[in-house]
Amino acid sequence: MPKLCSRRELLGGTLAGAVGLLAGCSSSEADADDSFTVALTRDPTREKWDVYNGITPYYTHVFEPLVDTTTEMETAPLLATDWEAVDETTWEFSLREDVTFHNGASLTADAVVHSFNRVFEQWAWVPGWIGVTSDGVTAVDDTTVRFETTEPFPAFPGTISHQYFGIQHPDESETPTGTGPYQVDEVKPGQSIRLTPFAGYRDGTANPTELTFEWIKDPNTRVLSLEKGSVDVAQQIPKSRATALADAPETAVDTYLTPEAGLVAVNLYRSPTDDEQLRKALNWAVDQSQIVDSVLNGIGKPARGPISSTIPWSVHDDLPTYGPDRDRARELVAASGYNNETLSILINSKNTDDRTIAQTLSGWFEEIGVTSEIRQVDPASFNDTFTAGEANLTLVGFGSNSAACDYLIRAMFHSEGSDNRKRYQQDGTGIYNPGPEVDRLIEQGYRAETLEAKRDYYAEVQRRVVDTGAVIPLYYNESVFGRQADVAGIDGHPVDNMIEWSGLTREQ
Amino acid sequence: MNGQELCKRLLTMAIVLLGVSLLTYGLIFITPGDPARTILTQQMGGQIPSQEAVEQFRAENGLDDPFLVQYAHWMGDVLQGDLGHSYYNDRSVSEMIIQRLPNTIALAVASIFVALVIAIPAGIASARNPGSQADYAAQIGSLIGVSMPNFWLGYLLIIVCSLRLNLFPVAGAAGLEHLILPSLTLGSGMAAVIARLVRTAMLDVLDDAYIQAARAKGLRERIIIYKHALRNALVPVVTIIGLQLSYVLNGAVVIEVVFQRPGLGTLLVDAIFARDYPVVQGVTLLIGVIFVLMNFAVDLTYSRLDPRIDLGGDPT
Repeated sequence: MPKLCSRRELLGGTLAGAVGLLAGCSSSEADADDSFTVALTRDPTREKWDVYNGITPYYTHVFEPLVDTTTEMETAPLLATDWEAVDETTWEFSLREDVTFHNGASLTADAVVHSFNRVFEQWAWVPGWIGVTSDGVTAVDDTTVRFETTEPFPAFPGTISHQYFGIQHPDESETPTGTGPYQVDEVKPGQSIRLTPFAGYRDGTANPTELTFEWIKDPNTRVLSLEKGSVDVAQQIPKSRATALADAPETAVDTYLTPEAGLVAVNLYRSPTDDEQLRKALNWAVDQSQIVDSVLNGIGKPARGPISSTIPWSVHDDLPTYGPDRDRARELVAASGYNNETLSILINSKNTDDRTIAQTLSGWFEEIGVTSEIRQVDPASFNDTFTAGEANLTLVGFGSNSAACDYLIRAMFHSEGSDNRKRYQQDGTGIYNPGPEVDRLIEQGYRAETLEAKRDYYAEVQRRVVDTGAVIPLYYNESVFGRQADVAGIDGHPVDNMIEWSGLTREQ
Repeated sequence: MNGQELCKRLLTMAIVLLGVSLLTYGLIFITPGDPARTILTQQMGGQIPSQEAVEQFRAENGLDDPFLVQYAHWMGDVLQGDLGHSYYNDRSVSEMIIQRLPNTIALAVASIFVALVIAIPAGIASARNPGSQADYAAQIGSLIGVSMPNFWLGYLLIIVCSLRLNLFPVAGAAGLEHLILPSLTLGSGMAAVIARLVRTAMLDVLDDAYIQAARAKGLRERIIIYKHALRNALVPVVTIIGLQLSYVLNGAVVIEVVFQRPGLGTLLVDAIFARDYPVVQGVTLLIGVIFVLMNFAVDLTYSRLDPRIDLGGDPT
C-alpha cells in the first residue's frame, strides 16, 4: 500500500493546522456596533459577595446611591429628590417615586434601610465612618428615610454619595440587583463582568447594548490591548504612553482633572525640616510646571496648594506661588539653621512617577546646597513609615472619591487627623499639622453649614500650610483614559469611579 | 519504597510544611504594614480610612492578638480543613485557590511541555555534534533564553504575534489561544536551562562503554540515542524539571500580570501587598504541598528511570 505521507509531513501538517486554528480563534478584535469593553485596573469581581454579590460598586453603575456627586464635586439628588436636617443630628431623605429595581420592584424606604443595614452588618466600621449608629437608618414612610448621626454632621449627604452606598434590592439572591442604567448579565470571577442596559431605567435606556468591564492589571498590557483593538476604552493609561496613543490614528486619549493633589508632606517636627526657613527654601527650589511637563508628560496641573482645584473649597487661584527662584532658596538655606544634614525623601513604590519626581526634587535641593536621599517602601508599609515620622519629606497623593471632601483637610492637617494622630498621641507632635490654631479652623470648617463659610475656614488652613512650608505642592492629578478613535461619548467625571458610560457610541 | 520509608517521608513532609507555614506567618507578621489600613483603603476606592474604622477592623479580624495566638487560630482551622477567609472580601481562601488553580496548572503544564519540546531535541542535537554549528546555535539560544527577562519576552511576543501578525490575543484566560504566548514566554526560559543540562548529560552518557557496544552491535543511531542514551541522561534532567517548578510558580507571577491570567502567583503577590494574611498563608501552604509532592514524585521517577537507584528500601 502506498504511503500517503511521511510521519514528519503528518506532524508538520498537524502543527500548521493547529496554529491556523488557534490564529482563527484570536478573535479579540474591538466589539462590533454598540458593544463596548472597558479595561479596568482593578478586578471588578473582587468585592464582598454578601454586600454587592461580588461585583464592584465602582465604575459599573449597577447600583445608585441616594446622593450624586456632580462634576463640580458637589452633592446633587439621585435616588433622593431632596434632604433636610430635621435637627442637628437627624437627616431625612425623600425618595424619587419613579425608580424601579432591575427585578421590577419599586424603590421603597424599607429597601433603602435594608441596603444600608446590609453594608453595616458586613462591615461593622462603616457606621462610624459615616457618623451614624448601626441602627441609625430607619424608614419614616414609604418614601422617606431618616438617618440619625452620632454628632452634628453637616457634610453627611456628601458622605453617602460614595458608591459604597449604592442601593440594592432586599432580595439577596446571587444576581446583583440595583436601580442603575445597567444590569448584570454575566460575571467571570477574577476576569470580567458583562452588563446590559436596563430597559426600565427612568431616564431611558443606555446606548451601549452590551458593556463589559475587563480587569487588565498591567498598564502596558492595557495599552497593548487598546492598540490591538481588544478593548474600546482603557483606564489609567501610563502618562508616558499617552502621546503615542494620541498620535496614532486608531486611538485617542482623554484626560480629566481629578480631586487628587500630589504634594510633599514636610515633617514639621523632625530636624532639620523643623526649621521654617529651610522649608521655605525647599519650596522656592521647586518648579511645579517643570514636573508636570517633564515627568508627567504634560498631564496634570501645576499645584499651588494641597487641595485640587476641582474641590469646591480649594483656593488654588488665591494662593501665592513660591517661585521657582533658586537664588532666593540658597539665601534662605544660608539664613536657616541647616547644617549639611541629609534629608530623607520617602516614596511609595506603587507610584512609578514618584520615583522620577523624587529624583528631580533631590537634584533641585542639591542645587541649593541641601542634600537628600530617597527611600522607597512598599505600599502596605508606606503609611506606617510615613505616620511614624521617619522621613523629612514624603511624597503623597490625596483625593476624594465622593462629594465628601472634608476628610482630606482633616486627615492631612489636623493633629488628630489620620496622618498626624500617631505622633500626636505619642509625643504631642505629628507630621505636617501646624498646630492648635489650624486644628480649630478645620473643626469650624467641618461644622460650617454653608459652602461659603466652609471655604473661608478651609482657605485660611490652606494659606497657613503653604505659608509655613508644611507642604510643597506639586500637581493636581489628571486621570488618563485611552480609547479607540471611533469611540465617543465618555462622560468625564473628576472621580474616575463615577464616569458615566450611557452615552458611549461608535462613530462611523 | 516500603511502608516504613513512606511513613518517614510523610512525616518529613509534614514537618517541612509546618516550618514553611510558621516561617511565612512570622515573616509577614514582622513586615511593616497594617493589613487593616491597607485593605480598608482598597475597599474604599483609595479613600483614607478613619482611625476608628482601622481599629474596628483590627478587632474584628483578631489582628490585635499576639503572633502565636493568631498563628494557633489559623493552624487550628487548617487542621480542620479550613484555610480561612480573605480579609478583603471575606471569601473562603479555599474557594479563591480553587478558582485560580486551573489557570496556574494549565500554564505550568503548557510551559513545561514547551520547555521539553524545545530543550530535549536541542540538547540532543548539540551533544551529538559538539562543536558543530548546531551546537553553537543551541548554546547561544540557551544563553539568550536564560538571560532574557520574562516580562520583556512577554511584551515582545505580544507585539510581534498579537499586534503585528494578529495570531493570538493580547491577554486573557478564556481559551487555548490565550495559553500559547504565556507558555512560550515561560517555557523558553526553562528550555534554555534544560537544554544545557541535556547536552551535558548526553555527552557523558554517549562516551559510556555500553553506547560503544551498542554501536559495535550495529544498532541504529536513533535507537541508541533515544532508547539507551537519553533514558540514562534523563536522571539529572528530571531533578531539574522538579526544581524548575519553582521557576514556573515564581515566573508565573510576571506572566500572569503581563498576560492578565488570574492565577495563584498574582493571588499571592496581591495578598502580600495587601497584607491579607489568610490568603498569603493558604497559597503558600499549597505551594509548599506542591513542592513537597513534586520532589517526592521526582524521587519515585529516579528508580523508574534507573532501577539501580534505591529510595531506602531494604538495605540488603
